[in-house]
Amino acid sequence: MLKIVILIIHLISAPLLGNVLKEHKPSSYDASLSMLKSIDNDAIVLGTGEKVLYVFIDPLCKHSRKFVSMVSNKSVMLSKYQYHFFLFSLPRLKSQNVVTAIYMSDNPSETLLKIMVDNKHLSQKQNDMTDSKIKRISSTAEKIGVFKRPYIFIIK
Amino acid sequence: MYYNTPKMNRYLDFILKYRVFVIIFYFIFVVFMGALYTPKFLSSDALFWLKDSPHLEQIKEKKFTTHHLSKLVIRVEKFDEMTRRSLLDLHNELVKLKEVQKVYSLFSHDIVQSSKDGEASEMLTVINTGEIDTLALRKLIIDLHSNYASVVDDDFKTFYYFISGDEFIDISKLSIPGSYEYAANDGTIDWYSLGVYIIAALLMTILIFRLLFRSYVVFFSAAVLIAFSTVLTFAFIVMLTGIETIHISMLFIAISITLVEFLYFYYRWHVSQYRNNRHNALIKMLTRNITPAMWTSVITILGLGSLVFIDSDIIKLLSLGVILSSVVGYVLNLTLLPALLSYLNIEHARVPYVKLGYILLQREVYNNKKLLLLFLGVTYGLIIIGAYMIYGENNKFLKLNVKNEQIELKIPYEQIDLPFVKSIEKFTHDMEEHFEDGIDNVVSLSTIIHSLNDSNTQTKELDEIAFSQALFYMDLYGLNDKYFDESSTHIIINLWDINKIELIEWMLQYEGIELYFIDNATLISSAKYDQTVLLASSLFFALLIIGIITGWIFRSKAMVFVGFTVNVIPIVWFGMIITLLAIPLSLEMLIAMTISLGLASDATIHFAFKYFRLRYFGRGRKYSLEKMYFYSGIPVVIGSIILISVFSMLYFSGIHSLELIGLYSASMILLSLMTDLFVLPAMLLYIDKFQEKFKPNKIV
Repeated sequence: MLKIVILIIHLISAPLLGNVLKEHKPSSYDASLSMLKSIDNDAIVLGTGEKVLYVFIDPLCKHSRKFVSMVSNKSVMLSKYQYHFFLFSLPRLKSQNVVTAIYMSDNPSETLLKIMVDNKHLSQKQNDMTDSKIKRISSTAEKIGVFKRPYIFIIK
Repeated sequence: MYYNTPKMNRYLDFILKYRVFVIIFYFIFVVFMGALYTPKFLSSDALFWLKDSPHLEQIKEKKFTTHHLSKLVIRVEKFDEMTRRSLLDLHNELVKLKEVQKVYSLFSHDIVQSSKDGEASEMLTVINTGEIDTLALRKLIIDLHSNYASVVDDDFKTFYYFISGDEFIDISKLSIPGSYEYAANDGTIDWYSLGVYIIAALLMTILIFRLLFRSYVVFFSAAVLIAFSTVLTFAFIVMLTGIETIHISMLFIAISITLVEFLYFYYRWHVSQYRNNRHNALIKMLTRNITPAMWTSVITILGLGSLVFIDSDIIKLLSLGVILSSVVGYVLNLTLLPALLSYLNIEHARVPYVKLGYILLQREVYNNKKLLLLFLGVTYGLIIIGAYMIYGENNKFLKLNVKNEQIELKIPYEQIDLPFVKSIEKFTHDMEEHFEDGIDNVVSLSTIIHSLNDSNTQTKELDEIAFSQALFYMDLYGLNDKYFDESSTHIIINLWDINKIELIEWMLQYEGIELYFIDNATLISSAKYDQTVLLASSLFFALLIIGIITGWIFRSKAMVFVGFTVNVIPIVWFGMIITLLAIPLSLEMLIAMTISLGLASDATIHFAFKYFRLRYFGRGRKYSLEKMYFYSGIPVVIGSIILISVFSMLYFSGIHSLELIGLYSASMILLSLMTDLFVLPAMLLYIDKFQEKFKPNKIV
């Protein structure tokens, strides 16, 4: 009997939850751009091109690593585009300490490449200095609707 | 006029007195002219069509380069891992060849993969079909066969490689699995194969001459006359026009016209031997042929002369080929031939098999006016239909049905932006809607942009943001070179089963996009499409002039009609056959038509000349027809038999251009011979101005 009650509750709640999820729409282009610009100082910049991309990555995510490797290894991709990387951890990868290590390093872009391209293992415990930065990025990412990494936003 | 008999005794005495010098002079002159103005022969007609192509001019202005597009078809027993690797290796080997620009095959496709469900990535992945193992590749092709139908058959046994390059490749050095077919024609002539067939043709000619004349004299004199006439004709063409590149099959214009003109002279000499007076035979040969042969040369000069000034190398070469071979042949027949024949002797002056031809006369087939009018009615009906097809709103005359072929286009751009991509998308959509299943698929900047966008979970409709993303991924995966360069984008259109000419016509008339054909095959097709009206008008004009001059020569309005009709019949009926069979227009076809025109105009003059001459001197219709048949018909029949035999042999030569010229010319000469034997005598009887002196409507 209890099983039936639980099943009914699930059946009723599933569409409702579905609706809640559906309502979580990503922000408009202009709103997203405005939010991204507001945290531009938190970005790690790579490349010198005219076209600007905001990219949310997790340093331990294999897709993010592939992306960073691909763009950093092609000179044309660095001369044509400018990448503003935001380090945004995927919960399952538990990469917060790696993110902290990158942000705390003297040259974050170099460290980013060492970890993501050269597979160096660096880690540092979280601290207040990086926490606020990570929170700002997380908050913006959630508002924009960033679920996967890398998330690429190109300024048109 | 036909009733005058020229006095040739003094002329003949002069020739005979200096016959050694005449022969030596011609020998030296031919060697000198041949050495000084040596043409270069090609077996491909591409150069001739492209030289006159306005589209090629536009392409040059845009500084685009054109290329050859060839297809390699490979058949394998089974498609397993080993075969896949061999086929992939072949693709890579082809790509590495320096003369190859691009290879379109099963292994040239890019597949865009989006993040799989549950994977935490927004990044698109582009992989090449060459990176996929056999099992996955099979599954992909089965799932999306419409995208791969042009490169692999659904039984996985036949694979197609479309190779773009500066020139055709030497396929023999590549390691190719299974059996293969590769059609390459770079225009150079395989002189060994050609030499073998020239020898075979000469042997056949000796045999036919031997059977018909029971003598080797005819072959010897014909060989000398034709060789000298052909060398001089092309030397004069090079000297007068400066055009040094000549299509190999144009040789046959000179050979055919000289052979038939020679036969009119030689035959008369041969059958006049019976009085055992060699001088008399030469006199007969000259007096009976000098005037009609002169008029045939006049007809070709006046009928085709104006075409020499048309700004088209093809028309110029064809018309000059006929004019010069006719004039040179005429001069040689009057000077060299009597000098040569004066040394030769005939043992058997009779020509066997001649009486077979009298069957036609006995059956009085020429007296059936209703049949003649019906035939002429149908022919003129076909002329009207042909004119409508050529000059109507759409050119329906030219057809080129192709299966599994490609067209490559270039579209120039100022800037690659969304409206530009949308314009390509609209062009593709309109084309696919118009031609439906005729278009297999289109590979363009638009298709890859859409493919990237469709797989991108971050974007939906193709807007500016989605477009920027797609362009970024093209940069990331290095796809740009494949789809566009600094100033233009490429489009590959895979054709399934379609009339290519109709597609080209549609594209040329399409507004909203500036497009350029860059593969030579398509450029040639568009040049042929452009020149059809010019060629048809030139041909019609030449036929009309020939008709008018024929009327003037015989001082008869009815002969205008006869001259025009007899020349037009083979061309119209041949045109109907090729239209029904959807055979594409080619230079070989035009050459065949030109040969037919030359022979038909010769036959008209010689037949009418003989017939009206005898009628003028009071001979009956039947007797005149018999003599016309004996003195003018037999040379035409013999010449046609030889030409049909030689051209039919060429059909089996294995050299594509010669195969075509063989097939078309043999067909045209047969049609021309049928016209000469069945229609021309009937028309001469019908317009006979002397008929009131005799019993009407009955051969007497």
